[in-house]
Amino acid sequence: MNFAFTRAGLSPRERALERFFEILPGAVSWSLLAGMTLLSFRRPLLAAVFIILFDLYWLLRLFYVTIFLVLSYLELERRKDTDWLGKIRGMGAVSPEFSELVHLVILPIASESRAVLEPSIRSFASGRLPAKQILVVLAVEGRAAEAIRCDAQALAREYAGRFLEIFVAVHPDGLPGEARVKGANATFAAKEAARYLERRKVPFENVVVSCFDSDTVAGPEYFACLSYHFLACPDRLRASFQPIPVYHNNVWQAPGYARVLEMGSSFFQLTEATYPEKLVTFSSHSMSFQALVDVGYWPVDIVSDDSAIYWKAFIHYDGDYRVVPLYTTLSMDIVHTGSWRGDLLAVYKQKRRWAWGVENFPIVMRAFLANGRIPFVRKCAYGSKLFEGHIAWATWPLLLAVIGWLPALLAAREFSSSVMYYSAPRITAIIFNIASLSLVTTIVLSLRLLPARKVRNPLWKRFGHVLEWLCIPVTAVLFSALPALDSQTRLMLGRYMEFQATEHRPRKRIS
Amino acid sequence: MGHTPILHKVIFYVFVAVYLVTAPVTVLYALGYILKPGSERLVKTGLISLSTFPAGAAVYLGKSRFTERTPVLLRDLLPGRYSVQLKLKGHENWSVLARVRPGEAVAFEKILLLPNDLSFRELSEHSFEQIIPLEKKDSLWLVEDKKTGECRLFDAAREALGPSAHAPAVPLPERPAERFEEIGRRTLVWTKNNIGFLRDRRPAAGPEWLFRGGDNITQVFRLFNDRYFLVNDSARILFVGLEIPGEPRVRKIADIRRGTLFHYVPSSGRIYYLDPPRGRLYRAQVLSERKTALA
Repeated sequence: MNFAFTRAGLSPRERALERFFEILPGAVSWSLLAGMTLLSFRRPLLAAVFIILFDLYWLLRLFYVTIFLVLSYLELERRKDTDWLGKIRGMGAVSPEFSELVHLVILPIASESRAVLEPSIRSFASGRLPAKQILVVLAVEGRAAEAIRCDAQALAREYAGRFLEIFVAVHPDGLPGEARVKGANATFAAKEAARYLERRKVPFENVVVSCFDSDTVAGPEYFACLSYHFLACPDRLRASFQPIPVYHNNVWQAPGYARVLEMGSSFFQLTEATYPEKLVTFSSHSMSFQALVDVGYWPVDIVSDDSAIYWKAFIHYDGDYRVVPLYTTLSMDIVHTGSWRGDLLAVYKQKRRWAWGVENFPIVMRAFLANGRIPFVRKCAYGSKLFEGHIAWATWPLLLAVIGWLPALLAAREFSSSVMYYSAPRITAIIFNIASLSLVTTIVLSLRLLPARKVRNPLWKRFGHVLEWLCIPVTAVLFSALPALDSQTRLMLGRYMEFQATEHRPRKRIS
Repeated sequence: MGHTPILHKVIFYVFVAVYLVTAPVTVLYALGYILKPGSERLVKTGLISLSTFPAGAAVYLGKSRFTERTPVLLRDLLPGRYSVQLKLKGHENWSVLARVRPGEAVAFEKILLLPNDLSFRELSEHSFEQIIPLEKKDSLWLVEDKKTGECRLFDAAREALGPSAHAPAVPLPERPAERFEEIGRRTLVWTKNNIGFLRDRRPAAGPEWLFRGGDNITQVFRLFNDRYFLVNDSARILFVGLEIPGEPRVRKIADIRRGTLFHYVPSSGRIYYLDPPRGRLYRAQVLSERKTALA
């Protein structure tokens, strides 16, 4: 289906429909929060019943997620030492042949200096996959500072002989139809790469494109693992490949709450990986270059390009598009500016940008309504998951940590002399105690997932990390629910966001 | 992980089933419903909430003793009347006949258990004619001679008596100093015979009297919260507990010298008074010395 994955140039009817779906998530989230607060004042007994039903639902969801988190982690561990190149050689004859496979890596750069970029580029060059099969495009924003552009040019020169090719594509600022978003930069770079590949007569079907965050450090096996899955995938032109993002680059330098949040992001992706049918791309991921070209590259006016490209392809191929989970990791930076105030603000802004992924919902829903080829059940399943995910993001932490206690706190005489007044907090406390089993599991996995690199005072650091997890109710409200509510409110009011690159502080080398 | 879609579905449906069973059961339980033993019929129960100061009192429901001690919730009580008794070693027993209604909670919170032994102690061999508490201080003037105004300062924190002196313009009260006391948003009011609160919403309707048994009330101290008072009534110090509506718990603490005041120090839970025949300074330990936030 040809569908304009943009909110620009819509007919009045489409615009009205889109506005309705833009308003819906924020309206539902606010209604839930305000409704429960109001109910706690006016009908505390009813509010307490809802809270118990919700707490139970949350507990079961938590255990459900924890089961698959553990399974997924075990799978990640099992595949950790896989010889992917060996497995490729064992595949026999495949088309294209492994040697014909080209990896195109696009690194969008807005303000990232050499200190951030070089570890990434070095990791691509030093993997087990021959670097001569990798084409690196340093996609620099035209509005970036001169020093940033010089850094990129210098790196391209230094690593010129290592890769199939490495070049800088400077994305002119303000091209027609574009917003100041990462997708526009990546699209420009991908088009430049397409011209290069055409000149070299490399078929697009043989190219796997990876759009990475500029701080993405790949492990030695990453590209070999990706190559294997790409070659082994029966319908590889209709699939994206999603690794597990981990945030280990500066894990011990970043603030504790940010460390816990990013660990949570890794766990979320680990859990999602167990259910590829509903997996959506996130952060650094890969796909067939041919598919990217077919769907018209990344959206150029959408902030959340990582998930938007999946939905764009899903709609373009009438639902015949999927995400293949890769049980391998890509390491990125945790937000860290060097000052606690800067960190607080930067973490909040980053989470708000992630939560801005809600902008996909109205576009996807508009596409679903227009597309008759995607089965209705699938549309319902995907639409409801997307919707519910964003509502849960914005409301659950607040319901659990704040609003859930209001009926007891605001109890009028009538409610305070009811059995429910005494039962509800006890039941909630029991539910939270049971839920702590999940927390303990999460903490154990978190400790196991931390990098094995030596750090100073490793025991203390790990003990501190355990304590950081205990602050999760506060962290989740401040850096999960509030940014999500902020994003949904902005979308509801039509105040669209533009991409703001995360601030990076040069990483310390840890011996 | 090729098996996971099936596993997802299996676990999903198991969890849905668990939710469909546990959610209504939990909500019904939270509302007070239980299966009536023997009849297998759902009945709506009530509960009694009990907490005491000091904590740790044994709880008797009828003749049965509960394993838990206060603070405690007595759940799953079929509607009806229950005799509740609290016993704590060294303290007076407390009992109530509580009526439990379906879905309702009867709360007896922060019940003050008075010590059996109030540790009476004579603090001075001198005789005094009056006690004049110093407002907001743990000190008081002990008037040796009303005519000459000769007094001695008593430091209740150290329980030490100072030398004789002339009290600096301390008026001897002829009548109760205060009949009204602001307690948060409520106003305590007391008269010669009654203690109560002004009604918040209908002040014109007059006070809501909680204690009507006084003969000649001249002093009222709050012990802790708004339900316990120490009352100077006709040369007696009375403890008045109002935790059960309509049923004041009254206990005489001590006789005091007619026409004199007494002083209560919240931080130590002690009262100071003059004994009737000789006018000597006495102290009694009214609140348990176990430290608590309630004191």
